[in-house]
Amino acid sequence: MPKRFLIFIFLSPWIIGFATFGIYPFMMSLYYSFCQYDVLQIPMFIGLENYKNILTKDPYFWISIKNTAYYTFFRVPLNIIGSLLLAILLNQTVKGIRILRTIYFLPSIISGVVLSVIWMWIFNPQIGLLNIILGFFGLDGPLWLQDPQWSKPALIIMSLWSIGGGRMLVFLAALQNIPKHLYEAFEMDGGNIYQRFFHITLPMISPVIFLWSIIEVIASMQVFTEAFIMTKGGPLDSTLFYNLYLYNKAFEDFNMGYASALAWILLAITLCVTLAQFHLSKRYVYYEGQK
Amino acid sequence: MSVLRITICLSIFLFILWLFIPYNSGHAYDIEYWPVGGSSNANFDSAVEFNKTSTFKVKSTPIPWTEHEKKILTAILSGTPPDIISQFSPLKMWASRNALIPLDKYIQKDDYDSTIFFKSLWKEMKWDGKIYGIPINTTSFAFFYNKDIFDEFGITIPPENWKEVRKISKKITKRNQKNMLTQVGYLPTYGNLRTSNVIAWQLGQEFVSKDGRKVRFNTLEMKKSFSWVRDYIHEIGLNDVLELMGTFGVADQHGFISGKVAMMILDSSFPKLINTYNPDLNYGVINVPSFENSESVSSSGTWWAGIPRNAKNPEKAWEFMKFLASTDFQIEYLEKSTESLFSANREAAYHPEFLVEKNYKVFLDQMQRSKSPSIIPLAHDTFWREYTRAEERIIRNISTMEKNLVEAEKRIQTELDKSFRYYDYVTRKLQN
Repeated sequence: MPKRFLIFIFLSPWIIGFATFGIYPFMMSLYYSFCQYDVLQIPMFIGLENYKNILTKDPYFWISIKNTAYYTFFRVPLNIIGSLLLAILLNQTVKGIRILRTIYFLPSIISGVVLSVIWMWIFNPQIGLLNIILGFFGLDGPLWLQDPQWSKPALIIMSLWSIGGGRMLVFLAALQNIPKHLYEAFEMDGGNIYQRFFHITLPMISPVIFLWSIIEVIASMQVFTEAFIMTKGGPLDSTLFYNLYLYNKAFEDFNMGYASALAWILLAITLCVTLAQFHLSKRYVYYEGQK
Repeated sequence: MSVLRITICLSIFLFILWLFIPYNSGHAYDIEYWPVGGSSNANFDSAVEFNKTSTFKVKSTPIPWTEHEKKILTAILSGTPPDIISQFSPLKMWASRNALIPLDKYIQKDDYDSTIFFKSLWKEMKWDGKIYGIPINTTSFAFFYNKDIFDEFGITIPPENWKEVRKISKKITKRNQKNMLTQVGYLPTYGNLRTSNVIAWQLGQEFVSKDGRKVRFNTLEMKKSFSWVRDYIHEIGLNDVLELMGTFGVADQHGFISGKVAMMILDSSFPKLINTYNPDLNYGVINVPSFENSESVSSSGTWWAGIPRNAKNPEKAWEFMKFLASTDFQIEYLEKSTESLFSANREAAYHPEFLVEKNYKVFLDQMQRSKSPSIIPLAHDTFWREYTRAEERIIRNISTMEKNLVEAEKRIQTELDKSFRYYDYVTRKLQN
């Protein structure tokens, strides 16, 4: 039996699975994006109408884009910087450091739904922990999830809960992989700790920062659980994120065609943003061994 | 080629083949019923009761309330739905999308008497001239008030109209030393039935034209209704209201059950909830207050049963549905079940045994004055989302009342037009 045929036989389970559950739904969603389709009945082909309505007549599309961009713009750097600083703190050879690393990691394993319910109570304007703590400092806490100005910052603060999770562990591993001789040489040259951080540490872990910036941007653009559980897009659509809007269109309004078009637009936006990040990475990412 | 290689290839081939073999669980029952699970204490299984005397067996598989619509939708789409579904969401949303089988032929064959149901509930079962379901249970809304709080402030007569509600509320509102609300008379935006909606109905608001194709939202009735709600909330203080509402939860943290809200429009399940979480609460139940010279109006939703398309045994499913809605079963159900629902069957609802229950007559009376929450079935979720948005913007004084109503009406109309265009297209295709 030819080797090529054998290879195909062994790959066939994956190919069949991927074709059935990956490519087929992918292509069908592209087709449905050109239709009006409520899932229960036959699709009605309407050409580019969905795309036209989304881009020119739908105010909630632009609101959701703005909300998602805001969330992404603040959440991504705060989370990456937070995880990196925590990793630096935990990159010490002190007694009990392993226990500390475990303690910092634990909050990240709590599921999204449970976390959302907990944080709803933390953000409670009257009896919530956050406003009580602010009260001790003589500050009047805002209404948080009930205030359109504070609802997104509240969700961004909530996202910092997981800075001690997998992201921190990867940074920790990257920090521990930095060759010691670089620091020794730097010390011999008389540099201080800040210079060491910006000229040795950051460049050496820049590939990892780049990796997480891509992952976090993609994850932030798909934010859903928090808004779905805690705010349902309110107040005043201030937490109407793109994915939540897509969900509403697909499963509340039974408008799968429109939702498919939204999904494809999201894919296009995510692709553009990722390509831009790759382009920018040439300026700040240092790969060992490159000229 | 080696034996090992042949064996591996054959195994992979057989595995792939096995994936396509249809699953047969060897059912010991004839039809499957998916009721939406309510309280975990519900101790009365309709299928068990039916199976005692029937020639065929029904299996009841309660599905959780959360996301039950998605589960039913997935089952219908996969082509393996249960034989009967039970739902609370508007039947027309499902009927208009050909998700259910029309029951007219079964009704005619059996000469089924639909007059046993409350008229308003039976009307909900119709779509495009056909019947798609049978109402099983319902809820009824009435006006609850906290008698102890009323006594504390010397209020002896409960309110009959919204003016009195406002006056009483002003009197009984309490704040703590930090000027935070701790007790409020009434909150028009708290609860499942929006006060603005009730007032609009009381003023005669019709949200859609008779043919169901033209939306009416930017009306005098809606302006009056939203103005009342906005002015009421601003009288107390918007931020104060939002802060207080943030402390509400479910069960014993519910605003009325915890004693923080003295008056509320609540449904007929609440006497049992109050008995469970705060049995010492001394409360009264009266008709929903009226607006100016209008009559009291309430709302009622329906738990209905229907046969999804592609159901394997529609005839047997119909027999079980008749049993579910029958007077005798409904009486037994109301006696034994811990679910706190009303019967959609008038004969069962008016059974003398239940009329002696405290407050029951009020709920029955409100049933006669109920309006359906399924206002625009083909744009149901869009309607309520735009309604909520418009109300929120008006309360927060964002833009003008007129602009908010016009924009909401336009968006609902756009969605409705698209839905009808699609519905007409599918209907034509099916007829061809």
